[in-house]
Amino acid sequence: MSSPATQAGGRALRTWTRARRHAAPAVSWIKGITHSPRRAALSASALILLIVAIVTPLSRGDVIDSVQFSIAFFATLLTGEAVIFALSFSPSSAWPSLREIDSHIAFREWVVTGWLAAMLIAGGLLLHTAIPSTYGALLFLLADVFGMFSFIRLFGLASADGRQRLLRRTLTKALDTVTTPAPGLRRRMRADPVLNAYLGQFDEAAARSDGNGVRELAEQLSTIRVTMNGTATLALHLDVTHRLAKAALVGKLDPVVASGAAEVLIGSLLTRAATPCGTGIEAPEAHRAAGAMAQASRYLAWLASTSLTLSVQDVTTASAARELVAFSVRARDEILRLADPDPPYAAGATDMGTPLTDAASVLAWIGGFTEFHGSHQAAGLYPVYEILTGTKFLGNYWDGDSVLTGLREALFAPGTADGPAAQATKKSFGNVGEFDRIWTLMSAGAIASLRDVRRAHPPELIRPEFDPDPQLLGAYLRTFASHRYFTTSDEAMRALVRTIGHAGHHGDLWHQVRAATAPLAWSVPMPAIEPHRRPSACVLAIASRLAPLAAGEPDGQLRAFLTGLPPDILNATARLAARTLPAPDTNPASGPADDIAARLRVLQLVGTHRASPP
Amino acid sequence: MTTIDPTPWREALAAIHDRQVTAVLAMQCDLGWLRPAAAVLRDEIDEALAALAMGRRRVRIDRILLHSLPAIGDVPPEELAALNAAHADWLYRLAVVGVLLPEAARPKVHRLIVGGSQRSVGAVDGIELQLNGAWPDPDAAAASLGILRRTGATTPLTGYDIDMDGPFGDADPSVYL
Repeated sequence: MSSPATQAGGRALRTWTRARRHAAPAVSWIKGITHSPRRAALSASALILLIVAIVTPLSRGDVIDSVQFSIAFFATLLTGEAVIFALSFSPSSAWPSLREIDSHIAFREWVVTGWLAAMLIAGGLLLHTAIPSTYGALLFLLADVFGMFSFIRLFGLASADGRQRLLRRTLTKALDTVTTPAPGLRRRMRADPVLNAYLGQFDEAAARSDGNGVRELAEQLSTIRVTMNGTATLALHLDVTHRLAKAALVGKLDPVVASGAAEVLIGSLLTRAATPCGTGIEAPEAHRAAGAMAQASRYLAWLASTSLTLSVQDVTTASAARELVAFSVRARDEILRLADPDPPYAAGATDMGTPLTDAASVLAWIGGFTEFHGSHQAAGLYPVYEILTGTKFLGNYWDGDSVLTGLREALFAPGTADGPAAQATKKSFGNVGEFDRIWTLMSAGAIASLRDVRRAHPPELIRPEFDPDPQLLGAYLRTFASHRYFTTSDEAMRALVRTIGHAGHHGDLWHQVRAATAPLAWSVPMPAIEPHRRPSACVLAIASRLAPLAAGEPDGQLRAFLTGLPPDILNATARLAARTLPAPDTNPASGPADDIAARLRVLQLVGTHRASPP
Repeated sequence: MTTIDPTPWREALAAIHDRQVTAVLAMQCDLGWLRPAAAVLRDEIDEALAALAMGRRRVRIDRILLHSLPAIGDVPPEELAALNAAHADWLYRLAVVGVLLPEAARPKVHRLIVGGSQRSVGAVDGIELQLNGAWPDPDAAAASLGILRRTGATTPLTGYDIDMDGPFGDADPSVYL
């Protein structure tokens, strides 16, 4: 049993807690005075008027005369605001919500000022005291001034431009608030009422197939302050892009509207995250740019692949799938141009340079760019070579030339790596073993997510570098498979064990690469999967490095490697090969090892057109 | 925080390929193995033992690792999460590497079962090499061998639950929609 004193103490504490809760809005308003010029002006004016009322109190008649006019004007303004509000805003609209409108037009402030003035006047007149009634009359004047300010601000909101400005400002403020600290960003973004209102409005417009509404909302996000380029802003760009694509794929949103708005958002994302400055970009900036470019690249590749799948399954229309595939290919092309320090058909100096300035950022980007069978992925190796070595690769992957072999030699062959870029890259890798391991991990990610070759690829979904051509697939695979750092089955087994078994340490290049892509990883629907979690893809990545690159070359070591594997992993690898690599016309495969070896002959399709030199 | 002295480990690893070595017994139950400072040495040991298993000579390899972390209440939640993640990742990698090797050659990884409220496993880490069928330091090997012989003290690490195909989303990425 508690004593009466304890009970009283408990009651007092509860009363104090309740009082604090009720007073919280007022306390919060007072605390905000230092941050808000409007609140500061209101408070200073109220203080000055109090001093005036104390120094020169008015007679009862003067107060009544003054109040008759000011209260009439107050009522007129109130009516005017109510009419505009009723005509311009839907009460159910969450974007902008009543809270945002109120904070913009200072509605509560001037109504509360008017209420306070009326109370003081009434009290002063009843009690026959001049100072409160004088102060009330003066406060009414102040309320009228604020009311006029509020009325003008509300009029501004009645136009589309004005509303857009308010929404941009509101969005900017919300993103500013949630963006730091980095840990817990996802949770804060999900809990933020403003961001939820924005996304809710977006989903609603997309569900209604309201093209204008969707475009406006995408425009708001893409035109928020250019300095707004934190992780939260970038994540919201990717999230909204996905909502657009999803609404076009499985909803009713016009695919042209969806792809148009998504293109605006991807453009805005790239502008905010990555500017091709050439030199002088610090590593954190380069890593942030790489993270955004990598996630956007893999998302776009995934989108094209998913559009194809859903179209073939009749879940989505062919026109919607085609629009999204075309958007994906275009946007990835833009990303490639941004990554390339010296892109073909550069429009001017702004196209020159790259935001990817160190080995970790380049690898982070190309890792994302080569996932999900993304278009132009083999061409992506050219800027990688150029950034990492400081020189251009003089060869053509379509002819069978190996960018990775060239890169390995340029960095680690005796007497090479003499330029500053190559030296810095060599230092980042540490040794050739790490170079080999990291590129094997990269290739496992790319191979695991290749499209299912057994699925039909309708002609209407064929785009440049998005087609079922086995030669193109062979070229993509060969960019990795031609990176040959072992020649025997025993060496291949050791490489496989190292690929899967070597965890590395914090601070090594692979960890830096993963860290660069991590901050935005949750903003796209596909999870980031560590390559060693894809055992069959690791095996195929190693096996492809033993497979003959030209017809007639022996494949004994490849077969020895495959037949030396336990049945479970060999069968899983055969299933992966059957899904991702085309079966040759003549396939006398008698077992999984034969089947894998036969399908890896897709590598030999590359460079068959190569003419003999004159 | 325990710091692991790499010297005896590296000396032992340098000797494991000697023809006289007939078995290897390694105990790695200290939490220090899961901290970033030990990552390089951990990889060296894992790779060396895998290389020994892949060699032409049959050498029995027994490893004792933690099944789960002991009760440690004095570490911040982020550090505990990092330790758990490192432990899970280590066991996963060892399991997959084991699955890649022929059954007869696989290192036998025994996971030492730790009680929910147990604060320490009470075992001394170390690596012992058996030469021509005999342990040069029987007392040092006895503790680890005792654990292996005690019924129910450990549970073997197997690869039966490893998804060799990788995540389903690789085969059909549209599931992420």
